[in-house]
Amino acid sequence: MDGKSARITTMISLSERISVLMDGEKERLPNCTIDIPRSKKEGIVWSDFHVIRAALKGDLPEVVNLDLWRSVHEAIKTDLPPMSDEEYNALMEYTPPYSWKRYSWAAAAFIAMLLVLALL
Amino acid sequence: MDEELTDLDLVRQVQAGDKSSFDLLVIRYQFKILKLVARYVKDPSEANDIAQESFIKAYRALKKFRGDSAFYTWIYRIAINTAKNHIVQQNRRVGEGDFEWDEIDKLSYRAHMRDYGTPERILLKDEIEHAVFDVIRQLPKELRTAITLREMEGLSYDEIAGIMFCPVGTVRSRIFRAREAIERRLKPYLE
Repeated sequence: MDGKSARITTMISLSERISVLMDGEKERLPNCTIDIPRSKKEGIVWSDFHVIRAALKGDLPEVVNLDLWRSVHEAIKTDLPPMSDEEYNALMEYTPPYSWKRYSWAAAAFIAMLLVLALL
Repeated sequence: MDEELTDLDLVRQVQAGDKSSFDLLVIRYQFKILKLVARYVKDPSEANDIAQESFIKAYRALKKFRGDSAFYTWIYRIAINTAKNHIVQQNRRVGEGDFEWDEIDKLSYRAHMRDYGTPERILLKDEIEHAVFDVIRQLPKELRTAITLREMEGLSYDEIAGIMFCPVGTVRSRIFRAREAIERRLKPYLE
């Protein structure tokens, strides 16, 4: 989260700007750069506002681990190898439910029967 | 839709080499992903590890994300498949044979129905939720309405302005003041 702070050219506070950014309403920030918040303080506000959102939506999990992003942050600090096409395809592959496979032969037979009837 | 645009902004920044923007994506979705994984994995620390692994995989694969779908849809799929693969691997380790995917769904659901978190963790979650709703009840009506319409109904600032008969700038300010008030109350839990 360390690094350059966002530039602000209006009287809107940093926290309010984050509030607007997290709502995806950045066009509501007149005369203001749309840099993403990235200082440590801004990161905490961003995180806290999302806790509020999650709580209101009932999205807080039973395990309230508020530091998950920190462990991910540490992990990606090092240069991780980009995912290969093979690994990516395997990861994103959709596996149909077992019941589909179980009844697929019946569906195929039914379609074949319809085709035969149509030809007759 | 608006939120997807912002996600895409963050994704583009990460793709351009700015790692810190990925932190913001993780913060935004860590609760949802953890909750999703918790449906599949009973053990809290395992759920945490899988959620973390899902984000790391997403980071490694981010160059392949072209924005055809929403970022959340994309990472949702990564998290589900990571969780399912974890269950399959774990099952192989204990030598109980292969599961089909819908079997995993059924087992995971049953696991979720069992006692999941430790009492302390459940208490913290409950306390945070209680604090949030408690502050909202005490907010002035304008702030309460604005934050509720935004967070619970998912309305845009324009739509809220239309409902509340006020300028969009006022909506922006009311939502922020509500968040600020709630955050003040949550500080002890979050520090």
